[in-house]
Amino acid sequence: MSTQTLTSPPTQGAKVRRRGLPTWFGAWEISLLVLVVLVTVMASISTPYFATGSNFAITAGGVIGLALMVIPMTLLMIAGEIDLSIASVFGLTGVVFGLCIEGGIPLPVSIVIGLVLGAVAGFINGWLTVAFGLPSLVVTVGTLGLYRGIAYILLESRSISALPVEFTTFSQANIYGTYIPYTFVLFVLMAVFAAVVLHRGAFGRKTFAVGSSAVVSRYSGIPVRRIKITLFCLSGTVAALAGMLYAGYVSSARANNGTGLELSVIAIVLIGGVSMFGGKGSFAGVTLSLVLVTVLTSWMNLGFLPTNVQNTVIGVLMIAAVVVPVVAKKISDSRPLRA
Amino acid sequence: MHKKITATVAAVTLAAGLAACAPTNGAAPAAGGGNTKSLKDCTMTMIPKNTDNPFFAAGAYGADEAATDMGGKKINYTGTAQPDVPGQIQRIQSASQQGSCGIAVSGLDPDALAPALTAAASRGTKVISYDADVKKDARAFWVAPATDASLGVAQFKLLAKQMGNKGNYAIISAQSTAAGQNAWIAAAAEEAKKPEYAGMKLVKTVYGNDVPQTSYDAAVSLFQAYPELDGILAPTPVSLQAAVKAKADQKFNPNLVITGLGWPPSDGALLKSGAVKSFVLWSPRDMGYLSYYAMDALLSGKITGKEGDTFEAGRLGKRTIGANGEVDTGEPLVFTAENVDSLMDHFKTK
Repeated sequence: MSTQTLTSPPTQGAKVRRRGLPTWFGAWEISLLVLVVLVTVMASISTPYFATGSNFAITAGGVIGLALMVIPMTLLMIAGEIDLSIASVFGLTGVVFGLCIEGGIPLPVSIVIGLVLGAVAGFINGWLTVAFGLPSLVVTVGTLGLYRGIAYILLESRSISALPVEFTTFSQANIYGTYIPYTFVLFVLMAVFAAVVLHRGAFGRKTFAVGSSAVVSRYSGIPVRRIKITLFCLSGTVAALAGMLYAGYVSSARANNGTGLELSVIAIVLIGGVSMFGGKGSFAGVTLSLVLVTVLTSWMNLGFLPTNVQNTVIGVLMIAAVVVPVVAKKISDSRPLRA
Repeated sequence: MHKKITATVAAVTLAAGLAACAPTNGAAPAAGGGNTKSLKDCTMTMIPKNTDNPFFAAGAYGADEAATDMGGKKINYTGTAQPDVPGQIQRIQSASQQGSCGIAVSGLDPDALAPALTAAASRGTKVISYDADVKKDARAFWVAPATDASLGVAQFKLLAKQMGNKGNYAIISAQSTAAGQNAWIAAAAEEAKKPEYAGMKLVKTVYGNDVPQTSYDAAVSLFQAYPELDGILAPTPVSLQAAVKAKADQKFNPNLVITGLGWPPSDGALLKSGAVKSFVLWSPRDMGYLSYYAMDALLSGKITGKEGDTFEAGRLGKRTIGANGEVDTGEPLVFTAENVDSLMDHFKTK
């Protein structure tokens, strides 16, 4: 098992400090956990409405679009790539899904069309990145505009709200007799699957390897291109699923659905401790980061925390997430000199 | 491997815990409760499109003013800083679960809010819309700024008067899809058919999307295409400001009339400099004030929201609910250099 060397190349010093801690739950994850607990306790004290089942249902149901897209973005960023077009795929798929429903296509077929569209959109991103050796940042800035533009061409500023009731119910309602939204169950299943694949599977090891060094990976016989394209397809497909569920959640497909969501998704992944240069990160960290941001949002929804405080906290965390590893590396690099 | 098992067990326990605890709090705090309520006993939640907008802050100020006048409870004013549909949905759900007896919402998306509003209503929470309407069956009635017709006609009349009822004019609107602006433009077109306006000709309607630069560019291209232009109708403050700036920058016909919809706290300066002689707006404060009294009348059972229902609205006097469940704040206000300072109270935010 060579996971240890593959998962933590940027901070050699960390290897020593992390002895005893699993690679998927290190110092950063512990800090996030402490923050989550702290914020949860503060929110619970400040309002009796926070720690309630109904608030859990409201919050978990509302965050679904964002939460789902965090999963593939984590894998993609660990592989050293990024997909800025997810929110546009999200909007475009919602629109196409709505048009399918409006055109009388049965619900299951419409969902499949949406998912395939997302996969194709993701494939285009991956292919352009891999085949031409372009930075995915640039490619997906382009498709961000392209996919959103197509959504506007298709639906203009109309909205389609006559979505099937079984679909809107799934997107909006809780499992009967509980405060658990259906979509939350879907998220948990997908997140657990992704976490296992990332941290226990061969595909996950290869993903880390590709993010650490694409060149070394290629010489080691890892199909770098295929892995990257697969991850982009996954990103597009999940964005499509999220976009359709969101359309169900807000009972309307619109071309502007989810505008700007990609930044929130990337912020959560970065705060989760995923390196923006790839090769480093854990699913536990990203999940904690998602929980942290969601708790802050919910606290704010309940009217006890101004939006600007939340934005500031997220901004500070993002900077910390980017700066701390750099500083840690500087410190560990300087250590041998003194020795 | 052990850690994986531990994690799985933890996850299952957590899920089971959630499932187990949930049904026990099933009976939510009784939201609306009985039929005879008043805002003296319970709270109205007011949800604007966004809280970064002084227009909505002035509405909230008006609602709290009504609370003081009536001796009722202050409102719970909550929203996202930037327009955000899921944020509105979650606030509607939270308000209902926190036991607010009434929700007044300015809808970002009429369809999107409907399920949450209907669910709130089924828990006994009374729902009205204000400023921007939502789906009709999702609210009891709509507290509208002023009728679309009156707003369109008022803006057109200012333009016609300053143009001496003759000459060419153009319109720089917001988005081509903006419902309010389109309704006003339609009302203005209807008014323009009257014989006294026979000398006036609409040469073109363009759209600045409520973006300053786009609106500015639209004004400049109008000046180039129609050098003989005598007037511009700008039914949104963004276009109004852009047109004034473009006119000055391009040193266009100094007699060009610019009017439409303005935002007095910032556009009052245009009135005082003479760049704009007059513009129209309604009172966001009165709209908030009216919403509060209307909600109280709905809660007390005095009205149900059907056409013809009347209620007392404090300093605004008696109001009647009109067709489509619309109750209007009042006639549009016309702002000039002389009155703008004295009318500034309509835009107080604290």
